[in-house]
Amino acid sequence: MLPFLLKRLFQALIVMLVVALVAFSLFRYVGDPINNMVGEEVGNEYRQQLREELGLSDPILVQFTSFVQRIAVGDFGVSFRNAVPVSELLMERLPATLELVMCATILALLIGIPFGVYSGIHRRGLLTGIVQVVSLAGLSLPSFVVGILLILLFSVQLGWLPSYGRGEVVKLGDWSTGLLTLSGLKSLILPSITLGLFQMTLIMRLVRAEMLEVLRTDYIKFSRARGLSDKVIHFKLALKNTLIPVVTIMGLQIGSLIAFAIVTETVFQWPGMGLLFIQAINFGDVPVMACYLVLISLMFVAINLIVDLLYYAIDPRLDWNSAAAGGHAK
Amino acid sequence: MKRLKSSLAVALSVAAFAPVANAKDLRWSHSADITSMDPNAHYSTINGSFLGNVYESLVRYDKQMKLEPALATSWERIDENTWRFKLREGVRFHNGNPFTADDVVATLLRASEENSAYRPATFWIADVKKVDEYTVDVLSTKPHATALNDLSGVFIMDKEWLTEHGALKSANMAKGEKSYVSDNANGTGPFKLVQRRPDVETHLTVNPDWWDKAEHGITNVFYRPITSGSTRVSALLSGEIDLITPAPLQDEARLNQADGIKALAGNNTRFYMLNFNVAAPELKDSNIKGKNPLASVKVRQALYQAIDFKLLTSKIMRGTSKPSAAFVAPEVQGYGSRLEQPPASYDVNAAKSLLAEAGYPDGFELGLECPNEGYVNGEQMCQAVAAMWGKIGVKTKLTITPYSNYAKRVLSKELDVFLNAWANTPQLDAFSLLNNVIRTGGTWNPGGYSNSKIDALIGQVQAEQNMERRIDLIVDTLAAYQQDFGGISLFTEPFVWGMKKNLDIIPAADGRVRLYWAKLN
Repeated sequence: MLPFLLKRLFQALIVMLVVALVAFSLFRYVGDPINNMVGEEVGNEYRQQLREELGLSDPILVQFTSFVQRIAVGDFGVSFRNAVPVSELLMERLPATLELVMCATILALLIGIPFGVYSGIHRRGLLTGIVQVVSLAGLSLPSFVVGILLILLFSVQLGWLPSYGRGEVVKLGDWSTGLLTLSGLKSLILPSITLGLFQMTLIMRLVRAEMLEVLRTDYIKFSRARGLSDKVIHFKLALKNTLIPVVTIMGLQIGSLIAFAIVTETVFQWPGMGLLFIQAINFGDVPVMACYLVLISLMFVAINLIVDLLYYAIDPRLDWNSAAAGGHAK
Repeated sequence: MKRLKSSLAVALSVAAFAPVANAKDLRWSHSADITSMDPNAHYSTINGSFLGNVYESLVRYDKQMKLEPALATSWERIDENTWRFKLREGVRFHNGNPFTADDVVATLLRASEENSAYRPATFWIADVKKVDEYTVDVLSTKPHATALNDLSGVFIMDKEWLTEHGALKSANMAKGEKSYVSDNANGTGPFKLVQRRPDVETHLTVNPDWWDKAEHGITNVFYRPITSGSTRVSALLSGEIDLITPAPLQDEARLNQADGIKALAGNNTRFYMLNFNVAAPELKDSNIKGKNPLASVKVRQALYQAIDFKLLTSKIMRGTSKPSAAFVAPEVQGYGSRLEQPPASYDVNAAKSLLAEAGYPDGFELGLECPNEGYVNGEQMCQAVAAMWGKIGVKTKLTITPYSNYAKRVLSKELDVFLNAWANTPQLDAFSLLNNVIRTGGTWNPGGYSNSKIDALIGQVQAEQNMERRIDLIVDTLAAYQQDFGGISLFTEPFVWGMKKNLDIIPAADGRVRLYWAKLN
C-alpha cells in the first residue's frame, strides 16, 4: 500500500503545480484590481506606484515563482478586497460550504439510493414513472432556477423557510455550525435541496441502471433458486455491487460540489467559499483566487484518493497493484 | 466534552433569545458589503453611505442637497487659503469622549497624509491648526473653492480613541494594511456599531445621546448584503428584509403591487456618457488606417446626430431617465439649464452628410466597449447605440466585458469608444468631471481629449473664488465641451429602492442612505 500512496502523492503535487500555473496565467485577463481598490479620482502615478508595491507589474513567471515560494511556507498573502490574510478568510468560510455540501450529499444519498433501488426492482409502475420524470427534471434544470423557484415558493408565498443566509450559527472552536440552531437548520433546507438535486437524480438513475444490470446476472438467479428472500438478494447482494460506480461518481461530484457551489451560494447568499470566490473574481482579488484554486485542486486530489481506497473496502477482490482501477467487479 | 456542553448551552440560549425583528428594527440589504469600518480606508460610495450613519463630518447635505452645519456650526474664509470653523459644543463620541478641536485636527491630518486612500478629497489640505477648544483653521495649499464640499465627505474620528488603538496613521486597504479601526467604530453619529461580521451582517444600534433631533424611530439596524438581485427582492417580499438598495429596475412595478411593500424611484448624480479616443493615431478596431476618424469634430457630431436619445430613454431605460445634454446632474454644482439645449438634433441624414464631408462617405468600422455590470441596462444601451451607428454606415463592433476587465482596458487607452459614468460625489461639484475626464491628461481621459481653450477655462475655474462666477465658468466649460462633441452626454442613472410600506425614506441624489432622514412608523 505504501508505494501506491507515495506514487499518488507525487502525482498530486504535479497536478497542483500545473493548476496553479494555469490559474496564474489566466489572471492577467480578469482585469486590474487596482481600479477596484482606489477611488476614481486617484491619479495615475499613485496607481502605478501601488501596482509596483503589490508586485502586479512583474512578469507572470516572477509573480508565479514568488507565489509558490510563499505557499510553500504557508503564507497565502492578503486579500485585496478586505485586507485580511487569505488563509484566515478561507478557513472562516470553509465550514459553511462543507456543511452545505455534506447536507446536500446526505440528502442525495438518502433519497437517491432507495428510490434508485425501488425503480430498479419494479421496472414498470406508477411510482417508478414518477421517479423517472422527476429525475429528468432535476438533471435538466440549472441550479439557479431551482434555487429561485424554491425561494419563491417556500419563502415568498408560504413564508415557511428563510430565503437567504445561514441563520444563527454556533462557534465550536474554529468551526461554525448551523446545525445546532433552529434558524440554522431552516436555512440549510432550501440550499441543500438546490445543491443536491442534481446529485440525487443522478444517483437515482445510476443505481436503477446498475440494479437492472446486476439483477440479470447469474449469481442472482442462483440465489433466487436457492430460496434466498428478496430482501437479502436486493439489499445484501445486488446493492453492494451497484455501489462501486456510485462511489466513483459521488467522489467526483463532492469535489465539484465543494469547488463550485458558487451558484447556489450566490442565490442564497450563503457565506461560503463559492460566494467568496465569485466576489474575488468580480473584484480582481488575485491572492484569493490563486489560493482558492490551489486549495480546490488539493481537495479533488484528496477526494479521488479516498475514493480509490474505498474500492478496496467495497470489493476485497481488487488488488493494490492494479491501482486506480475503478469500474465493475464481476 | 466540556467545551461542547457549554457550546450547546450557548446554542440553546442563542436559539431561545434569537433576535426577533421587532417593529423598531430596520433590516437593510445592499448589493455589496462595506469594505471597512474605517472611513478613510477606501474611497467608495457604499462605505460613505453606510458610515455616514455612524460618523459625521463638519458640514453635511440637507434635503435639498445644499450644505448645512453638522459638527461645525459656522465657518468663514479668513484669507484665500484659510477656512476657520467654529465647532459644535456638547457633542460626544459613542464612547463618551467629548468632541473637540483636537479630534478635527487629528482626523483631517489622518485623511490627508500620503498613505491615505482618501487623498482625492483632501489633497488640497496643507495643514490643520487648533485655534482654541472649539475653533479650527484648515489651511490649503492653493485657494480651494470646494473646500466645504470636500470636507462634507471626511468623517471626524476621536483622537484619543485613535491613539489608544494605535490608529493615528491611516491604514491603506489597497496595500493590505488593516487596523483596529477597520472593524470597530467610534463616531458622533445617530447610530453606533454593535457588531461587525464582514460579508454577513453589521449591527448598529441607536445613539441616544446624539446632538441632533432623532425623528427616525429606529432602534437597531441590521445591514445584510445580498449580492443576487432576485434574492434581495425575494427577501423583501418574504418579510425578512425591510429595505433593499438597489432593487432591480424591472421589479419596480412588482414591488409596488405586493402587499405592504413599496418602491421608490429616483435619479442619482451618476451621469452616463460615451467617450472617444481622439488622440490615437489610428483606431484599434477600425478599418481606417493611418488616421483617426474620431479626431474630426464632424465625425463626432455625426455619431451624436445618429443617436435617438428619446428612444434610448423611453425603451431601453423604460422611461426612468430623461435625455440630458448637460454631462452633470441638476444637483451638481456647475449644472446650468442652458446646457440642456442639445448641440445638435437627431437627424440620420445630416449625420450621413457630415460623414461624407469629413471624408467617409462609405462610413467606417468602429469599436464600442461596455461593461456587463455596474451600469443600469448598460449592455442593452450599448447594443442600441451600436445599431443606431450602423444605420449611418458606421459598422460598430460591440464588446461586453466584466467590469474589472473593462476598467483596465479603458485606462490602458486601448478602446475606440467606451461607456463612462461620473457622479461627482461626494463634493457634488462638476470640477471633479472637468479635472478627471475633460482636462488634458486627466486620469479618466484615456481618449486623450485635449482642447487648449477648455483647459484654460478649467484653470480659471480652479482659481476662481467667487462661487457664482465659478459656476458660470463651469457651465461655459461644459458648453464648450458639448459644442466640440468631446463626449456624448446620455442621462443620469435611475435607481429603485424597495421597502416596507411603513418606512418613509428620502432617496438622496448622491445615492447615500441617510437613515436619520428616514421614519419607521
